[in-house]
Amino acid sequence: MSAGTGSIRRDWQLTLPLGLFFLVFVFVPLALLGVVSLYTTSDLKGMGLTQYVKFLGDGFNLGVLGLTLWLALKTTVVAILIGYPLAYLYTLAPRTLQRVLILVIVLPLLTSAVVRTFAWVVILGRQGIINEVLLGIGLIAAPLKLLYTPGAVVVALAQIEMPLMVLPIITALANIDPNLRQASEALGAGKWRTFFEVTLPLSMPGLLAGSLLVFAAAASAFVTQTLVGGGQQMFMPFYIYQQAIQANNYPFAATIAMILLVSVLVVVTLMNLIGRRSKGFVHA
Amino acid sequence: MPESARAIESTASRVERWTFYGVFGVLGAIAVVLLIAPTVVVIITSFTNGFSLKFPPQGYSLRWYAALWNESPEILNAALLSMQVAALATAISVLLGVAAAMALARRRDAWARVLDSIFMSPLMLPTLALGLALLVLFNLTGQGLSMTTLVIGHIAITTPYILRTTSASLVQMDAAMIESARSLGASAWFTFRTVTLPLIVPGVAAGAFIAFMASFDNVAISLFLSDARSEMLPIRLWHIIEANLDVRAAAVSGVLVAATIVLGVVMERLAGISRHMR
Amino acid sequence: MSTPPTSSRTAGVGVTLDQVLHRYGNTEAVRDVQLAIAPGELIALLGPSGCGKTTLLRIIAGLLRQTEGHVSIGGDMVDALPPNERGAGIVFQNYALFPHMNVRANVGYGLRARGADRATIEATVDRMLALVRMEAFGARYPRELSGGQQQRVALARTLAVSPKVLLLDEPFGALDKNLRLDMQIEVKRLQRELNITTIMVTHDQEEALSMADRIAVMNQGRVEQFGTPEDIYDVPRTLFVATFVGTANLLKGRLVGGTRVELPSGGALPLPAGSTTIRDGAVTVAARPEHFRFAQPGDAGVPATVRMILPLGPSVVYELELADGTPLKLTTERGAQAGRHQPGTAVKLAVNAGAPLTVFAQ
Repeated sequence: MSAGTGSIRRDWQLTLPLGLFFLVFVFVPLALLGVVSLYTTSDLKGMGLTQYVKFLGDGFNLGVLGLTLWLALKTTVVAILIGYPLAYLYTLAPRTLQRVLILVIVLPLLTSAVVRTFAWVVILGRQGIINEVLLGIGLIAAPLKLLYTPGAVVVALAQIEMPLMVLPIITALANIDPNLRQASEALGAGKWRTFFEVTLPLSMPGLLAGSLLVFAAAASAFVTQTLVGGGQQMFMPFYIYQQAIQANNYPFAATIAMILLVSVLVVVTLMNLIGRRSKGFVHA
Repeated sequence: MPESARAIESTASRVERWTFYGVFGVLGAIAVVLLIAPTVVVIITSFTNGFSLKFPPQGYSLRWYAALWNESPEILNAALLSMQVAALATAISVLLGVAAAMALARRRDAWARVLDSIFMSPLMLPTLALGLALLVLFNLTGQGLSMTTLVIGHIAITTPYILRTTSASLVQMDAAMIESARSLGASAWFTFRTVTLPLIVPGVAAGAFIAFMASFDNVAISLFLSDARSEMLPIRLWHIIEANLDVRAAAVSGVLVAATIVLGVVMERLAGISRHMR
Repeated sequence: MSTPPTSSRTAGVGVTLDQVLHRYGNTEAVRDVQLAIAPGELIALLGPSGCGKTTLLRIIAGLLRQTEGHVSIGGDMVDALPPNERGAGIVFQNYALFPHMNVRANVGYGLRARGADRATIEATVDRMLALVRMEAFGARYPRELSGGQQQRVALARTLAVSPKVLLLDEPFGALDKNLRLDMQIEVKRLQRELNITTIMVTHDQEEALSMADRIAVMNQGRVEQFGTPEDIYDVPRTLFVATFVGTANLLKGRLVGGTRVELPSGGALPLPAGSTTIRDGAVTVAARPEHFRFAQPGDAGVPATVRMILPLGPSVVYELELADGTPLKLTTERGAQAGRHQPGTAVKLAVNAGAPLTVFAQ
């Protein structure tokens, strides 16, 4: 059963059922999506790159793409800024506290994203807790418009996807030999230098893995984008939905989907490559 | 010890230590509050006696839970359908995922790594694109949308979770155990039933639980693959929140949050889900 | 602190531990430790795993804050100092080399942390690599080095910041047997050359006996005995020290007149005059295997039976049994007596003249 013993393993056949499923229900459909995106008109006539030219030649469309990737990037940065310290504190915490903290981190991930988005709608609403508190202490005279702003989407998404960031970082931090940090301090380095020169570089694989997950999730977070972002800001996932279901323009919807797919794939692959390089020296 | 002078930590070192733990402590505390607060807000809001989502509520009652139970068959039906789809998709994913993990977990060949990445890709790719792609497929083949198409779509996104947790359990398992079982004369299938399976059951269970929750929560796939008659709970909820912010949404959320916490804690005890999610 | 010394040789500072006690929860990992270590001395903390020796080392390094008591380095009480300001350099058991930095960056790390200028860092790194004979490996990464090479780099990295005290945690535990002896000689050479006060944690008694100026034998958090290797070996002060360091036969008997111990199985063991102050009565005698010899036929002696013979290179170990079933080991040089006693033979044992047997009251 073990690899590398030289025995003949026939158990590769066990991948066949799932492989077949992926072939028929993931690969073929995605290929079809690519084909559909090449139709010239919405009633599926003529072939060519018309849809791509239309998308890439239009400022509005490029704006939607840019806004989506920019949103995913901002979300990732915010998730790192608050998620990393949480992961770090988790590794320092005593075991009993760790047991509570891990539930605090994991349970939101298991809770429906629609519910978590709804929570942000309640919090940020005109009668939400933030406005009530600000009104109560007299800081503002009328409720602020918090919902349907770009900032709100970033904060809500960063919160919703944060566990995806925290968990891989915890794993990476737990894999760092604690002696390395102590060696750094015993050699005269303070806390910050030890963090930036030893802990952070060695936790890079986890940080990148988390960033990858958060970026991909934020770029395609249809529900949060539409509910917290509202109608004013258009992001790629809603654009796909709108073109396919509401406008019935399948070729254009397919084009948007392909472009989103490729964009995310490019970013994810890049991060993966960097991640593999950083893993090289971390796991000696 | 009179002959010893008491050495004092330098100010720079002290400042560095305080700023370090200060910054990490404050950011970590913000993170914890952010993780907990929304859930708490939803639960409190669901007990309001008013007609709006004002927070904190004016008064408290169970009226919205009563409304949910008594006057909302469409929501309850959506929940039932979501559970059916999630259960079916999870069950099939377990079969597909465990089998594939058995073959892939301990292999380091390039093809196995590539195949593994492919099977894991739905976690990374925009699932909305996959939903649209499947819709195109089913339209082209002339197959109408049905429960089957929904389940198929969900299997694609639930299998990665099971593959991941099962593979992790298999990797942790001592390979010598299987070898010694085989050398004692056990067949491959007997070894799997008596040695491998009992040891990986927590991993499979954790994966199945996470997969079920992911399916139950899915919007992107269901949006394209459910027919007009069958509406899934998250989509129903999405419509309610988008359209009129009906307070019943808070009651539904309250039920979902409570169920998730109870199931999550139980599964953590039984299968250690947090270990399998890292 | 940022300028390295022009000469490698340091003045050496003393280290004092004053009533140090450490608790993990309810268990006392270290208790009542009182040690005064002289400048330039090499000390071994020797004991079985879990005896508190590593905890004590970490307390000296400042990686752990003791529950009670004080640590002084060079006359300064350093209890309030974090590890980066103590001037104690520690080499970890697994070396803890930074895997993402090459050898030069590892060795220069401490000086960079102190804000030393580039030229100083480069010069010190060169000097340190020369000191541990690793000049050719500056650009390598830790994973590209053998265990012994990693240890040299770890030593160089610690010594580069000119610590007042050098702390070594099981320094040779990860090396195979042949390499271990080489590195022991190497470390001893460096320690002598630099005259740096060194505290070494080990569970290997041979290592402690061969390297240390003085040994602190630890058991269950306490220092059982602190003395020179000869003292520890020849005059163990407790039964634990007698059995943990070297091999000891423990024989129960009655002390008579303060000069000899009568064994229940017959025969008696003579003690050197004035070697004990214990009152007559039931005692346990600790005797090393090399303290015994086979008595000449017809002489008086302790009757025993040969059970097994183990030739160990230059010496031969005899497993014997006294008449009452007590097991006993005897070592002789190979040659003269080899093959004279077959298993099952009845023999008589005598104690070598002047052998420092130790007696403990029961």
